[in-house]
Amino acid sequence: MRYLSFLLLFAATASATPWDEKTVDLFTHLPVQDAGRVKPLSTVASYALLRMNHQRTFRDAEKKSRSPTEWLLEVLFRPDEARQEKFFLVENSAVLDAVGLTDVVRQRRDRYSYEELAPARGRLMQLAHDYDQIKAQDRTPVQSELIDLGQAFLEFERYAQLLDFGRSGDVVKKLEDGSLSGQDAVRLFDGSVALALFPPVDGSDAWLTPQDLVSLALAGHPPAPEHVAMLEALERMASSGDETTFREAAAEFYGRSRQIATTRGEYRKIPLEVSYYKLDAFTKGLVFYILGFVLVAVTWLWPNAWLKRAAIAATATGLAFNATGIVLRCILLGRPPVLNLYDTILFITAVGVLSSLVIEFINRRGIGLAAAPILGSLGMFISNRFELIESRDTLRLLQAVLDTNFWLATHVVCITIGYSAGLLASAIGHVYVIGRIVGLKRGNKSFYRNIARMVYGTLCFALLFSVVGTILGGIWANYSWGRFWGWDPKENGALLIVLAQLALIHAKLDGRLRDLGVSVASILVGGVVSWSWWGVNLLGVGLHSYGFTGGVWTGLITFWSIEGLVLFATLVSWLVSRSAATPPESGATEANPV
Amino acid sequence: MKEPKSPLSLVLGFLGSYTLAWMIFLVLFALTFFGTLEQAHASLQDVRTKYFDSPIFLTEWGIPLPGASFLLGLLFLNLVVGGMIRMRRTWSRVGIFVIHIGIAFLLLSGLVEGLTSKKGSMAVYEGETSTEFKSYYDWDVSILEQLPEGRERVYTIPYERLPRGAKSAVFRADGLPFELELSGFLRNCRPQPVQQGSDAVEGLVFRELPPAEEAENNVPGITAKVISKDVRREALLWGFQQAPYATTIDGRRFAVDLHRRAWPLPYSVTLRKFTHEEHPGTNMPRFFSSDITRVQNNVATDVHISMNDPMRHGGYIFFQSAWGPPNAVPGQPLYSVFSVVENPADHGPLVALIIVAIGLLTHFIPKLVAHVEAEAARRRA
Repeated sequence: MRYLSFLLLFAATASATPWDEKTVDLFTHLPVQDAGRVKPLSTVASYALLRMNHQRTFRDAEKKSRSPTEWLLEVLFRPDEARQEKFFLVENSAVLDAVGLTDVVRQRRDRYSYEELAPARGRLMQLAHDYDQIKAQDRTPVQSELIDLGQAFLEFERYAQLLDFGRSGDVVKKLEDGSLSGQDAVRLFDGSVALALFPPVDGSDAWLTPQDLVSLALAGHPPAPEHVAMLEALERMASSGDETTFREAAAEFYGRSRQIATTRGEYRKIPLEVSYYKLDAFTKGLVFYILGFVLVAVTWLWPNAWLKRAAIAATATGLAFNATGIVLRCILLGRPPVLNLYDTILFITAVGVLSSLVIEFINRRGIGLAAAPILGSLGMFISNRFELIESRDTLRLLQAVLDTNFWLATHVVCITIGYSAGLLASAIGHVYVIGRIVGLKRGNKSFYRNIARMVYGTLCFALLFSVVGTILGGIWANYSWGRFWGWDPKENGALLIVLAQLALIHAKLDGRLRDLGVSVASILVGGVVSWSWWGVNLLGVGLHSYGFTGGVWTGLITFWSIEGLVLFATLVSWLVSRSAATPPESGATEANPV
Repeated sequence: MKEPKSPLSLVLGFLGSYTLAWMIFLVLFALTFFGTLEQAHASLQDVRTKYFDSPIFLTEWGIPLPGASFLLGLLFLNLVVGGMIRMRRTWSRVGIFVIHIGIAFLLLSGLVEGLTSKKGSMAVYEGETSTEFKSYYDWDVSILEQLPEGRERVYTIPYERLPRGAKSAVFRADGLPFELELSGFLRNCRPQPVQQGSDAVEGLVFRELPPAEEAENNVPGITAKVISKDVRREALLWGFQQAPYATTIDGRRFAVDLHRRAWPLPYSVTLRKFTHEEHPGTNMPRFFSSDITRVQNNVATDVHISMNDPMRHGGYIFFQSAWGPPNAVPGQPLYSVFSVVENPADHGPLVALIIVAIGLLTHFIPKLVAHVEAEAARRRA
C-alpha cells in the first residue's frame, strides 16, 4: 500500500513537471490538417480537451491551470502521467453507478482520471454502444452522458497511442531498410488517432498521418526525405527522456512542417487562429456585457449620468469584443459572418446589442440601454454553452452546395438580422408586460406608449429583413437548384416569422391590437423566432438540418416555459386590471382591443 | 343617414379588409407550422401535396385546414382589393402600395410556375448523350407499337389518369386492336415470387412497401390486362423492370411500359467529364461539376455546369444536382445528375423582391427619419 502511494505520488509529481514555454509555443503553432482544414495543433487540442473536461484548460495535480497544448503534449509524450490526471468530467455520478464505479465517487459532479475510470472500461463501452442505438431525442441525460464519456475515453486512448511507434524507437530505421512488416504497422498504429501532421510535398491536398506514411511505404511508396526527417524527430521526442533532445527534435519537426506549409500557402493564418483563441473574445464580451448590465441595474436604483455612461462604455466594449471575434472568424475562413448555427448566435447577439444601442441613442429612455447588455450576456452565454454541447471546431468548411459567398453574405445575413430584430422586439415587449405586472411607473401612459412604439418600430425593422431575407433564400434556391420554395423546414421557419409579423402588423392596423396586444404578440413572435432558429433543426429533416442536439432541446423547452409563464402572468394582470376598471358604457364592450 | 351598403360592396369590403388579411396570415401560419411538423414522419412531397394542393384537409392532429393554394389565392384577392384598389392613395402610402404590388407579383409568378413549369432530372454517364429529362414523381403508362421501317406509334396514359386504390380503368384508342385494363396501382412496391394464387401473374405479385422517405425514390407498380376479342393477357408493370411487357395482337407488336414521365429537349446533352472533390481527409463534398457538350441544330457548344452555376438555354435550366454511383471505386465510370427545370416565371421572384424591397424602404425610411427627428425635438424641448 505504501509502495502504491509512493508510485501515485511520483506520478503526480512527474505530471506536474511543466513543459518548456518555447516547446509549448512551437506545438501551439504547429499546423495540422483536421476536418479538411489546416489549423494549429492547439485548436485540435482545445476541442479534444473540451470534449473530455468541458473546459479548454485543465488543472493538474498541483491545481495549476494548463493550456490545451500542454495537455495534448502530456497525452502524446507522457501518456502514463496523463492517465493520472483528472480531466474526465462526470456531470452526474449516476453515470459512475451505472458502470459499477461506486467506490470512486467523490461528488455528484466531479473530475476523474483515466486510471480511476479504467476498471469500468468494458462496462462503459458496452453501455455506450447500447445507448448509441437509441434515438438521440429518446435518451435519458445519463444515457447521453455515458455515450459522451465512452467516446471521450476512446479518444483519449487514441491520442495516447499515437506515438507508440515512436516509443518503439526503430520504425524509421525499419522503414528505411525495408524490414517493417504489415504486422508491425498494425501493432503500432491500431486504434491510434489519425492526426494529419505531415504536409504533403507532392502538391496533393490531403495531409498525411504517421499511419499514412507507413502504409504508403509498405505499399512501395517510400516517404519523402522531409517526411523521414519529421518522423525521426517525432521518434526522438517520443523515445528520449532528455529535455534538450526533446526540444531540439520539436524545433526540427515544427520547422520542417512550417516550411512546407508556408510553401503551400497554408501557414499564413495559423498565428491569427492562435491569437483568436488566446483573445477569447466572446468570454471577454460576456464579462463586459455582464458588467454593463450590473451598471445599468445600479442606475435603476441610483440614477446617475456617469454610471449610465459607464454602462454604455462597458456594453460597447462587450460589443467590440463580440464584433472582433466575428471579424477574426471571417478572416480565418475567408467567408461572410454566418456559416453555421454557432455563427448565428454570435452575429444575432452583435446585431441585437448594436440595434439596442441605436434605439437608446435615438430615444434616450433607458430601454435600449437595458436591453443591450441583457441580450449580449444571454447571447454570449448561449454561444458558450452551444460550443460546449457541440464540442467540435466551430470554424468549419462548407459543403459544395453552400459554397457561395454572395448568397451567404446576402440571404443568410438578412435572415439573421431579421431573427435578431425579432428577438429584440420581444425583449422590449417583455419590458412592457413585466413593467405592467410589477407596477413599474404605474399610471405613466406615455412611458408605456413609447415602449409599445419601440416594439412596433423594431418589429417593422425585423419584418423588412425577414421578408427580404426569406425571398432572397428562395431566389438562391431558384437560381442554384431550380426551385423557389421547397417547403423545407428551415424555409418554413423563416416563413413562419414573416407570417407572424404580418399578422401582428395587420391586426394592429385593423385596430384589434393596441399597445399591450402588440407587446404580447411581439413575445409570441419571439417564440416563433426561437422555433425557426433552433426548433426546426431538431426535426432532423430537410436540407438545413443540423441534427438533434439534446442540450438545445432542453434549452428551448425552458425558454418557452418561461415565456408561457410571462404570458400567463400578463393575462392574469390584464384580467385583474380590467375587473378593477370602471365598466365601460354600453356599446363599447364589443371587441375590446388590448 | 348613411345608405345601406350593397352586398357587392360588403363582399368587396371584407375581401379587402385588414381582418381578412390577418386571418389569412394566421391560418397560413398554422398550415406552415403543422406542415413542418408532419415532415418528421412523412416525405416532403407528400406533405406538400396534402398541405398545398388540397382545398381542405385534416392535419395529423385532426385539425381541419384549408390548403395553401386556396389561401394564397384568397391572399392575392385581399391584396389586390384591399391593398391596391380600395387603398387610400396618399404619398405616405406609396411604399405600402409598392410592397403589395411586389407580393402580388410574387404570388402570380408562383401561380405561373405551378401551372406551367416542368421539373425533373437527367442522369447521364460520362461519354453518353441524353435528349430528355424525366419527372421526379409522375409515372405514365405507354403503349408503343413497332411500325414498319423502324417507326413507332405511342399511346400514353398519364399518371393523373391511372386508377388508384381498388379501382380499375379501361383504356382504348382508335387504331389500337385491344383494350388495356389497369388496376391495383401501388405507389411503392416490388414484385416477389409466390406460389400460384388468384392474384399472381406469372408467379409474381406486388408486395407493397411503405412510402420512401424521399418521394422520388418510390417505385410504383400496376397490373395491366390486354383484352381483345381473341386474347386476354395479364402482366405486372413495375417502374424498375428491365424491359417493357411485350405482346403481339393480330400480328402487330406492342410494348406496354410503366415509366417516369419524360420530356424531350430541343437539344442533346453529352457528358464529357464529371469532376468531384471532397474536403481533404473528409467525405464532405467540396466541389462537383460537369463538362458537357450541348448540340442544337448541328451546332456544338461546350458548357461547364457546377453547383450554384447552372446552364440556362432554350428555356431550360440545368442545375448540377448529384452524382453516382454512390460507392464508386477509382476508375469506375461515373454519372452526373442534373435537375432540369422549365419555368417561364424563372425570374419572377427576383423582380418581386426588387419591388418589395423598394416598397419597404420607401415606407420605412421616411418613418424612421420622422421618428428620429421627433425624438430629437422632444429632447430639445
